[in-house]
Amino acid sequence: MRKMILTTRQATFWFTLHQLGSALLVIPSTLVFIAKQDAWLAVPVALAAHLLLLLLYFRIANRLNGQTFHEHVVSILGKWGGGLCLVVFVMAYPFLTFTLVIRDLGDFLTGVMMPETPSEAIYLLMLAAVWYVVHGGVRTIGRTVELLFFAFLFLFVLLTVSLIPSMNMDYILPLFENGPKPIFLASISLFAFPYFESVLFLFLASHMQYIQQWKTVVVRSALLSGGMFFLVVFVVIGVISQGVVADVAYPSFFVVRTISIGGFFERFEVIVAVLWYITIFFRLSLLLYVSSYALAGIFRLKDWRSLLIPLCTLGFFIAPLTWPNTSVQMQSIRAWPYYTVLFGVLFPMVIWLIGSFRGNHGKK
Amino acid sequence: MTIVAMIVALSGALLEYRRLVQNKSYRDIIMSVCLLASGLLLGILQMLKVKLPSLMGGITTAFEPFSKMVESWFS
Amino acid sequence: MTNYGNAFANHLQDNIVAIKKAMGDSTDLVIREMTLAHTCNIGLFYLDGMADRQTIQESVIAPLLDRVDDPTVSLDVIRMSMLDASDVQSVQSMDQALDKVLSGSLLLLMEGHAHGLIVALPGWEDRSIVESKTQPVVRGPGDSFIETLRTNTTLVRRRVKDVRLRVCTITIGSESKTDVAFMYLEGVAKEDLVRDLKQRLEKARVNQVLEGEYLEEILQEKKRLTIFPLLYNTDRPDTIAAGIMEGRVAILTDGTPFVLLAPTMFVDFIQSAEDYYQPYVFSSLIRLLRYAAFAICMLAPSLYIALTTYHQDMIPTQLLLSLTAQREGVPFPAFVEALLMETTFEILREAGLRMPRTIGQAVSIVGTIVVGQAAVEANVVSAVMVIVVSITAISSFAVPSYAMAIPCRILRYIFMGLAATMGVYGITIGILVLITHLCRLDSFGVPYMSPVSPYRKKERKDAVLRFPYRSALRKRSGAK
Repeated sequence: MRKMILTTRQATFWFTLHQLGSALLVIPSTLVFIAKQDAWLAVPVALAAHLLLLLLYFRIANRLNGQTFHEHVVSILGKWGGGLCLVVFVMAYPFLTFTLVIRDLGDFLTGVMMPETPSEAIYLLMLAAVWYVVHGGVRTIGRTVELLFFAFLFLFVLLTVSLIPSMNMDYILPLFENGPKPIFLASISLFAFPYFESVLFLFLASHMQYIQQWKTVVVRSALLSGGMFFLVVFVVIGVISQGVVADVAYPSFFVVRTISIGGFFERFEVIVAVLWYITIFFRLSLLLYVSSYALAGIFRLKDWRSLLIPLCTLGFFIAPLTWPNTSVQMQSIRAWPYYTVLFGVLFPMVIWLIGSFRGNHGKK
Repeated sequence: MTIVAMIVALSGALLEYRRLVQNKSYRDIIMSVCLLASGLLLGILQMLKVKLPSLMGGITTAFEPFSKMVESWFS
Repeated sequence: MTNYGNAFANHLQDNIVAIKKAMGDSTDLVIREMTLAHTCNIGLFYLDGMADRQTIQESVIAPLLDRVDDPTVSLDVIRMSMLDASDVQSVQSMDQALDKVLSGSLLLLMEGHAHGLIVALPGWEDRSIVESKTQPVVRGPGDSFIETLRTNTTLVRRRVKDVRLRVCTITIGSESKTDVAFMYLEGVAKEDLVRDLKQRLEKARVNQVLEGEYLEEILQEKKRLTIFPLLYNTDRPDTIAAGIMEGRVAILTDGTPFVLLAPTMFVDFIQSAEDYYQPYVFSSLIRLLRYAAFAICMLAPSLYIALTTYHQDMIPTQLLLSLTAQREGVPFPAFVEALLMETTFEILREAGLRMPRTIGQAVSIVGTIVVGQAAVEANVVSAVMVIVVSITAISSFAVPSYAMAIPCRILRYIFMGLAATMGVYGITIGILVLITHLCRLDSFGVPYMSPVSPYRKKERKDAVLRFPYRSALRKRSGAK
């Protein structure tokens, strides 16, 4: 098991794509809805908060000593307590997120791209692909992400660069029209989604050669994805103004429709979709990997791969149950950060506190 | 489509179980069967058009107060 | 195994009978009996056509007849001082002797001796060394491997004049008894790789090995199901020599001009020998072009399907208008249209490869006129579809390795299906799965997609682009 090693490069790319994931498409409208034209300022705020939170994760990572995170939790909370906590954690956080992302993908495709296609077919195709990559293990995922990250980067740069000429600085101004409060409120949603999910990286810490490497990777990927969020939100507001952004569900998709260069280079929003599929693919792969790897560890299974198909099946059938319609979804987006606090902040905090209490006690 | 997915999942799982039986990983099989069965059960319930509660709806009702609270701080 | 007795008999006549029995009176078996010094009977055995008759006459029969009256002649004397040949060995068992005779040697037996002499005088007809037919170059060496193993090893050795170059030969195939040679640089190639290759081939139980592909399939791990070639094959000695110097192992099979190279990476198939004989800027650009050709060959029809059925708004308006105008009379959806045309092309291509050269013209005329012009005029397919198919076809020839063009052609159909059902989403998923698949593959312990992923800084310089020689260390994963 320990042989499965990620290089720093692979891990950085994987974590970055995971964080960009579905957020790249959804987050601009959420942020702009709350903070209007100042939404782009919420990104650095959320990033700063995230870096603070990382300090907590680093403390825990220091204590792993080559253990996996779930082994660590079990050693702290006991076999039953730790096991139970972890099962709840995995099912309610990474796995639930997994199903939500599948659902997001289905909603996007049936809503915008191909209205006649049944969403089950979309789920099935994506789940099959994700199953295949995760089945290959961390090694395969690492190599795949190493290749595809450049495809992603190329498309991303192509899009942002072609959007910049049509930016209008008037849309960005005035700064701080409504004071700093909305900015902070908006940053909470970005902080929670996707940055609380960095707690999942703890599960992968044992796949890195040194814990120090893991730390650099986490910080680097946060900065990378933060930078991209910043760019996207800024450019999107600059091109189509905050009023429009808040109204459309997928602003970074919508905004590309405005591009027209040389009369033929236009209407290539499909490229945004491709970009998004790639990030979603890696986001799902990380969530599925963490879910099955942690669950297999808790139940002491011989092979974590044996849970992949059941988890995919479960995800496939839970996805339609997540929300019945978009209004519930919109509501849930606002409640989601407070739900994830449980897992992103409270849970690691508890682990850390009990860990330090035990550590002082039982030093051999 | 749902049925296709079920067949795919089942056949994939059966192939997997053959390997697992060879490796004598019975614990794996039990866990896997439990999860798979719950997944398929959900699928069957959906096919029978049983009204199932929405997950996010539950989460929203439980955590709405917090969200309201924090929003009131910032406005 | 055939059971023709292991030891020689003391009497020549018994041996002759035994050999005749084993070979079943084949008409090409020549048995020449001679009597030296009136008492000593000698028998010569060889296969006509396999051994060189002229040389036998000059270097075996003539010396023997020169001393026909010499009573001191014994088998040892013949071996040490009479035969005018460079490779003479003593042989103890009938099995061994017959094996040698079957590969073109001459067997010499003498009355009263229970062993014989083997004189290697192979003299079968060879093809001369000609230019590579599969991978021709504009600039660079023009020779190519031929069907004879020894000539092939020589072609390589001439390019790698290093004492560390090892050639070791094993024989595989219970019936074909094919010689298979490994060539590698000792100390540069990984030793366990060489050992592993040898072991796997020696263990293999096969009847016949007529070409490298037999070995390729033997060597492939059982679990790995893939349509991608995991061993590189070429008939160009310069490519093989370069590979050996990079620390890889060349596997030469007797009877075929195609030599295998292990381990192999994906990038090898996009590279051509000529890349190294042209300025590096040009070579790098050409390589990029080949990658593009590879992608086009795989994706062009599926993109056409996806765009025309699902994402029409992506096509510029004017083009869309002319497209719809063309497609107006066409009775099929884009998918069927593409399937029809692609399959027709594949059939034409297969026919063009297999048919006798003399009727080639007829097929190409029928192909171009019927499939191209007439089909468009009859509104069976649209003109754009014909363009797409031709671009695809030409691109598939731009991939330098035929072995890599094959998976490309197969995948094209899968992508067409995905595009027809799911549009660009389906294609993207297909690409994701494809890349995952490539990343999962290993060729003898070396990741298939290296040095791009996992990224290897040192080897990167000759991967996608070709860097100038002064900066590029031409050492790749096979090397230590």
